[in-house]
Amino acid sequence: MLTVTMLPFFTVPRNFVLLEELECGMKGSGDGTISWGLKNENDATFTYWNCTIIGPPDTTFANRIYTLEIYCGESYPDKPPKVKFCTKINHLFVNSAGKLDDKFHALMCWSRNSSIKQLLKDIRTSMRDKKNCTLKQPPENSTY
Amino acid sequence: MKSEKMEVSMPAASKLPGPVPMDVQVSGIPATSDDLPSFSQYRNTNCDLHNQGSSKLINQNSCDDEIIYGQLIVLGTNGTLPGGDKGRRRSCFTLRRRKKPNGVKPSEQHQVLPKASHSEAFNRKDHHSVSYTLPRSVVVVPYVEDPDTDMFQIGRSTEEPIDFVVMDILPGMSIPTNSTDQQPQQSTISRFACRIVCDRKPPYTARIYAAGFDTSMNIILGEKAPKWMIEKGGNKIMDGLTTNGVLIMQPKNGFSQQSEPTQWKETSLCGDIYRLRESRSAQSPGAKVESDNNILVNGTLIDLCGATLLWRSSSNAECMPTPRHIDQLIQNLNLGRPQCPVGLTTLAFPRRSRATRETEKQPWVYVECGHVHGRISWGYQGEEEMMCPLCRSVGKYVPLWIGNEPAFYIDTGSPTHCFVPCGHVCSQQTAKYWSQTALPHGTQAYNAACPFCATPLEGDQGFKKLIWQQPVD
Amino acid sequence: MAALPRRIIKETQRLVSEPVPGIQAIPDDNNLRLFHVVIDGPKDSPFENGAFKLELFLPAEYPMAAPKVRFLTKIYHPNIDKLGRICLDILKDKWSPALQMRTVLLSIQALLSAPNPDDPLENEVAEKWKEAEAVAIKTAKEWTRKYAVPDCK
Repeated sequence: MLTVTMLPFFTVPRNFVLLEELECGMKGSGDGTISWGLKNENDATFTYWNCTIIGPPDTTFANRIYTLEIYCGESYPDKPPKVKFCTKINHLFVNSAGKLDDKFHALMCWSRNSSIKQLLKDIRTSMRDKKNCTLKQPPENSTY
Repeated sequence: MKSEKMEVSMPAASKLPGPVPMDVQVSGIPATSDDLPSFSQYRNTNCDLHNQGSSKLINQNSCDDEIIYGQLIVLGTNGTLPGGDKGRRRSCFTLRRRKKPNGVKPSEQHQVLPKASHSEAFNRKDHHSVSYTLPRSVVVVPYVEDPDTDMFQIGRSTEEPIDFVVMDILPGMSIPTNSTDQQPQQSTISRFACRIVCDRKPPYTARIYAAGFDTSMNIILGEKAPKWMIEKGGNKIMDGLTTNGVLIMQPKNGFSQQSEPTQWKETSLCGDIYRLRESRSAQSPGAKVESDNNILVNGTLIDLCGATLLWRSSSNAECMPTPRHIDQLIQNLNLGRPQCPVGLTTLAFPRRSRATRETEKQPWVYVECGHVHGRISWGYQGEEEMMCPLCRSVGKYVPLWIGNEPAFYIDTGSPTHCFVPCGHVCSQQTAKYWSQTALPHGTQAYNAACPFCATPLEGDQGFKKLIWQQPVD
Repeated sequence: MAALPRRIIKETQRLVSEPVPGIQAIPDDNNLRLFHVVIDGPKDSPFENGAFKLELFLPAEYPMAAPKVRFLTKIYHPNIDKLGRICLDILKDKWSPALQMRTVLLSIQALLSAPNPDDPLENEVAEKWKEAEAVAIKTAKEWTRKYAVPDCK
């Protein structure tokens, strides 16, 4: 009974996924350690996003506000977004231009169920990793 | 071979003059007299008896003298007992003229004795008697055989003298999805509750009397039962009531579209009619109602305290649909291909015989507004209430079931209404009649109830007009 | 995973076979829960002659939950924001599963005829609509000409 055309019935189209993520971000997501919103509030294509992460306590990232930019292409959420830090950061998976490496766990395992919110949470969690949490951080408020 | 013969004989027979099987015209349904079964055929309670009307027509000698006095149907059953009919325990009992009369009537003797056991009549196993227990003595009234009447006994006992075994009816038990075999722990129905005595000659008058004779052919009214002496035809006779009493309600204008419920009254052991006691088993009787009698008229309700019976006399079968009519009405409803306004699926009632569980196409109703839908889960407002997607009224939401028991129908109108809150579907007049008929409920309360499941009615009216959505495509 | 519910199939068939005048809704080739919609600007409204593109998506809970609808064409309207989101009660708390795509689209069409600046989604536009309706209508007409007239696109 399963037909090939049945398969795409249930995928939520890109714009409606992002619209929902936007509304989720506007409502706030609990503890305020992460936030996300459209870079340009009138961007009806939902492409560029401005996000922040507050570094977790007991790490070298603690109490710093990192801003980052997320790019959701045409094939989002089938393909993962691209992530670039604006605030300078010293992190194993962030290159010298501030770009988050595609090999970062959350990007590697990206699926339709992933979201900007989850990605930000995962990045913040990674700051607690043993290999990251002691890295010396660039001066506050320095940008790429 | 047999069926071939039937096909040949039936049309020929139907052209003959004589009693015509019931002929009911239902709007939109072509009803011809020869394809409808007669009253006696509609319930196959006795497999060796055939259709009264057609058997007369095809002149089968064995059935020539088959006379039906009437039927008793237990309210709150919907065609059969919730657990199925078993022997003398069933949802409906047909009173037929017996081969030999078995009626009894009181003799004119009254024996006053210190103890019932001193009475000759009481001790003789082959004689009926009624004993009235007084504080210091017993009055025994011997009953004698009456060749002009047949007697039928009703009660909770499964012993042999009981022709129709009636157990307590729990509200809602006949709804398939509620069906359980449980019985109330304490029954209030008397083991030998009442007896009906029918004249063996036309017009076959049926009368009801409180209490029935037990296996020893005795009725014993205990010390606590109300009893008194009255004068009748110059004689002083004893009379009394049973503990929980036998209440009757004889509707005005019989059981028809013009029917109107009247007040409930009580019948005594001797068949006189009294107003209700102050409470169900109070020790003093209500006032005697001289203008009333104990003759069962079509539509009389008999309450045994725990179960209520409806009497349908056979002479009035015309106003009653047959099971085939009900099937036809169901089919007509289904042919309209009613639609669920939400699922856009076609709804359909199961056929009568298969209406034993909820189906995928089962129509559901929001009882507050009458909008019919399929089963949907939306608009919960607390545990029992839901919001109608069409009009946003909030109330119970229940599956609809066809009222299967033809005897409860007051006419043969289309099933356009349902009872609230149980969802049993029937004609408007039927719904209206039962919603205006208070039934004894427990030992104190009176409540209108759905005849098909005994659920007490709710809402302003107790019933609702169904609003169906016809297909848009 | 269930097949596409019968209701969605029926609604789609009817939308295609008996379209609502002035509304076109075509299911996406690859996603039968996604509809490409064009609503013609109603006559005697500032949106007259415009063809407004929308996208409509039926979530998995549909019809127990409302469809999601968004304008793709820019529009100057107090109840429609810059992202194309629509402020309409039946898309939110007044949704009922007895409503259909057809009724939703008709309601959106009606909203174009009768903007409601007292229940705004786009505050600036709403204020303009209340304070200087003529100016607001003029802007709406301009936007219609600029973004919604097929020739110019």
